[in-house]
Amino acid sequence: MNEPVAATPDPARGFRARFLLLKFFFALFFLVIGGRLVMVQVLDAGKYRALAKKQYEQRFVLPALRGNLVDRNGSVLASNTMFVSFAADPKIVGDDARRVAKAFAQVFGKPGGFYLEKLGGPSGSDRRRFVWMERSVRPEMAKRVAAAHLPGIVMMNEPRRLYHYDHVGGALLGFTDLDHRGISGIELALNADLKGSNGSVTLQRDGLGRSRPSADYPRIEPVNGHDVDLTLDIEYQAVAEEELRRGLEINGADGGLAVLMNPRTGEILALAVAPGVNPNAPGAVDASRARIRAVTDIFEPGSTFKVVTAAAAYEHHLVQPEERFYAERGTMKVTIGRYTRLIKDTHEHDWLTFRESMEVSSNIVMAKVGKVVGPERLYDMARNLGFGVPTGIDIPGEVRGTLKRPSTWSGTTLQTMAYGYEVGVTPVQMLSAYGAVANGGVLVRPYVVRSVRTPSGDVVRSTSPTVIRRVMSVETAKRLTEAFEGVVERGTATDVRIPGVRIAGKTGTARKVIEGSYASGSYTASFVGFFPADDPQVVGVVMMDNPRTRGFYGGVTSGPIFRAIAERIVNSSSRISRSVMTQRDPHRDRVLSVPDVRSMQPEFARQMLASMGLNGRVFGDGAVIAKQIPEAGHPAEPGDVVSLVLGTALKPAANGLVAVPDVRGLSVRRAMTRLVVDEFDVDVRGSGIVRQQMPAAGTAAKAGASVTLVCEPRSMTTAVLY
Amino acid sequence: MNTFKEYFDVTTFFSAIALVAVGLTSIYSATYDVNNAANFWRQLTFAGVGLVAMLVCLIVPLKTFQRFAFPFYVFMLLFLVAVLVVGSTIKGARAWFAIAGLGGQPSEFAKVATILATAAWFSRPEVSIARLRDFLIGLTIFFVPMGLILVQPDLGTTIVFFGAMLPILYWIGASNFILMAVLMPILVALGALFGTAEFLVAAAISALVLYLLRRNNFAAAIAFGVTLAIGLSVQIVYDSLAPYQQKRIATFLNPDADPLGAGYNVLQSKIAIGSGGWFGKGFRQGSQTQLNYIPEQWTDFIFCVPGEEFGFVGGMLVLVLFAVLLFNAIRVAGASRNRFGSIVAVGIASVLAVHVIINVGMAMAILPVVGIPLPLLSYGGSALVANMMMMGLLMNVYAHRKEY
Repeated sequence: MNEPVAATPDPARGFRARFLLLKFFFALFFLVIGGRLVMVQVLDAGKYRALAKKQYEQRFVLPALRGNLVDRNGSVLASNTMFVSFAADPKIVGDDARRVAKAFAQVFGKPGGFYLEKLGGPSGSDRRRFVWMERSVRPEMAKRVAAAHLPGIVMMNEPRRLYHYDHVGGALLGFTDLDHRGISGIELALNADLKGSNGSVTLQRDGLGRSRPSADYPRIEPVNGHDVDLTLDIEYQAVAEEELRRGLEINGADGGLAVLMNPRTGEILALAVAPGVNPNAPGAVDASRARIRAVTDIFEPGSTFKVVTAAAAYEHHLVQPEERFYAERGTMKVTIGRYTRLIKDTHEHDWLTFRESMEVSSNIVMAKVGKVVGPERLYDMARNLGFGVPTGIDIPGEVRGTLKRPSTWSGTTLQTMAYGYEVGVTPVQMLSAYGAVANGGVLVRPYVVRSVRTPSGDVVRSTSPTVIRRVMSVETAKRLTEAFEGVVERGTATDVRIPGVRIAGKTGTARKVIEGSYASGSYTASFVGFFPADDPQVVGVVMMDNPRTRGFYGGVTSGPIFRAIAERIVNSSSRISRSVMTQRDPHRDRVLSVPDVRSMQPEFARQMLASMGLNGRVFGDGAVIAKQIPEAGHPAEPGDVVSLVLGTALKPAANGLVAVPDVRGLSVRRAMTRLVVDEFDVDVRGSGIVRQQMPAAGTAAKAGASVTLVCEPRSMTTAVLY
Repeated sequence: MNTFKEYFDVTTFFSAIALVAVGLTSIYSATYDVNNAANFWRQLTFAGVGLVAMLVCLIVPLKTFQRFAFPFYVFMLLFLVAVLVVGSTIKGARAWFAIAGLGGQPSEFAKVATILATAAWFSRPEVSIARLRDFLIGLTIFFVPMGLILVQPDLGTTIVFFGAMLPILYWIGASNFILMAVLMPILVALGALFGTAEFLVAAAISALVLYLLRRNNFAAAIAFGVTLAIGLSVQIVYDSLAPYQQKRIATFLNPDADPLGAGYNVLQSKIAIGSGGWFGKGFRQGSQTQLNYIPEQWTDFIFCVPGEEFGFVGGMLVLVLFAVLLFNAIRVAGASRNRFGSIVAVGIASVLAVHVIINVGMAMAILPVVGIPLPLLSYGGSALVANMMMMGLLMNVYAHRKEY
């Protein structure tokens, strides 16, 4: 320590040099590290930020519930049901893979190896973080899995569209794809209203694979889709489909359709297409079946189009019903210029009144009348009745049909169009034209969507009947109706006759155009009509493609289907049957007395009511009927509805007190229906689902007491993580 | 005031305290969720102990350290042997002593002892580094603890010893040839790890370097022979390494091969630092840190915490504090008229530099993952106390820099 020289290390090589070199190397290393810091944190920061985000953020969609489709009487046609899917994170499952696989195998009855393989073997060495274990299983199955408390298993609720009546109304309702987007029918047309908007929740995942809600992103609640009320009556629809199918079978036809409409309002009551579609299993359906052929397909109408000729003739007072025409003994040759056409009738007639010519459907007479009417008036009437223009029905895919302008007509077009050739119409166009006749000459727009409502019942928009124009005078309409009644009573459609019901209609048989020319032996047979003729409630069209076994005339093929449908509707519909009954038996009063069905089982009670022509509607839970509205002995008419409220036992209201029913969890509408039955006054706070009620369920309250309902919008848990 | 600054190394003291503070903050942030800040409180306690040790090392006369350097060194060697016999095994290495609830890693203190012993040896008036015998004894002072630590096995600390040894020997006056003779085998061994072509290139470079710096051909030939032998034996050594160490080497050679396996830590560390950006995400706001993406982050990957939560500003602050500390230490070494003090200062600077470069380098994936802590910041009692002792020694050298 006493040697100053030793303090300076190795003076020969230069202390200064070593000092600087050492500093230089340290500085170099620091510069490298500092440079790397710039690179990672400044230049590449965006890349790493994205990597980090991807790694820790996980977004889950909270699917919105698609709106319900509801028929005119409140029957739900399409709604959603919850199915559950299971996914696994093999990394978290880890060593528990065997236990997890075993639990799944027990619940779902598949071999354990099946699940073990999904998890990447017994060691769980698979590095994937997400595998589906089971998809879309029923909730009750899911409960059994959830009860096992398995590690690394994620349960997800997946709503699935459920069509309550399977194929009934299937073609019109349409269906959705796997992502709940409407791809045909009403589901497509009103997709924007039905779909709602999905919510989302963002979870943070940590390095150990656990998830927790992220504070940075608020949970976005899903907004459920709107419910859609249809004009459809599911009972009419079921009747129409059943009878159509039966008729097609009997006649060996390729296909057909039946559409029913309220002629006063334009509300479509039923729209049946065969072969049909079951939207619950749309996978097996080819695209052509999903088409709503009542509006998308054009056919040459034949005799049903005579409504145009007749209407024009009457409207312009060119022909009187009893005016006589020579029917040329079944064959007439028309030559105008270069054009020659042979017009034939099915029967040989000498002289026919105009009315008779309608009844027997004489093409020759109609051609002659057409000539009297003239091109412009015929064209204008066709146009006014809605041919050649879309009806404006709210169903996707409607076509306008073909109606040539007089200026483009050939020499014989006037005559042939007079009995329904050289035009192309859709079934719904034909339906609404006859609807105009039934409606005293006023054409209305057909429609299927009555209203769009929020899930809590607020109307978003609604359709009211739309008058398009007065097409003809009331007098003309009345004369036409008489003529069409004659068709059913005495003419080509006697098979449609129902004793006691006045039906007006017209048959039509047209050769099918296949690849541009008329095919022999291939026909479109149709019947269009309405009833009761003096107070039309229903106008309907039935069409059949290519009937074979029982002839091809509309009167013997489609007609009986129309009759069968009409018969069943008349028998089940109180309104129509009443007006029918009065005709049938005007002197006898058919007033019933409501039976006492209390303490009965609901099924038995409904059968009993049904046997008397009454409809029982059941509400609530329980084994037996506790209460009925109206009460026993109350006068009723066939078709009236009796509300049946279920309960555990009948509680005699000795002191005038009634137990408040439990309506929590019900929709406001349902809750109100239930409470009103017990004569409670209802005070609603909020909308959606009833969360709380005052007084509580089971509390004894005086009839007429006020019950307060606190409601919340529907919400759902979609991702249960444990 | 001037007198105070004359004897009190303000720069070392405050930069060291600042680094400890950053470390405590980071540990708090990284472990708050995991164990409710228990690690923070433990580390804070050790910081208190360290502060006392630092002051003791500052106050005890430098000559006392010189006098007791060898006994302390031998004492630490005994500890290193003992830990191999009775130590507890943590993560595959017998490096941990647990006596009556108190634990410690003797290898951390062995660094201090080795620096002191080396300084004491080469500051003896009769010892010259130019003499082979004296040089070999000097090397042995390093190699004995290195060997004992390597068999724990603790590759990281061994590398620190080796890395610190080179600048110390250089400072003491080792010739360039000697330094290269020690360094070249490492270069060739690394080359051999990468592949045959790299091995041949490294061997060629070492041959050229040794030839240019040679004093006599015989020594050069021997040095090259040893270099080649070490390079060729790399495969044998590699095979004898623990699997986790082999994996780490493989990961270093190709870090992207297995992003969820061995390369996971590095990838996560890069993501954490990189996503911090310019100003970071804020204290306790770092997603990667708070969500525990980096396993045991509070130990070897503590640099990610300031990097992510305080961004480039935070990362740079840490680096600048270390740079200030280091260059000040070299300045002290240069200014010290006392050879013992001068060597001690360089030794401390070297150990510190190697730690920082390797640790930060691995956190940003420019160096392989070897388990060494970031001095003064990482969680760990022994390391913190030992490092603060070194800071005290450095301040002591500063205070006595004008004494011969």
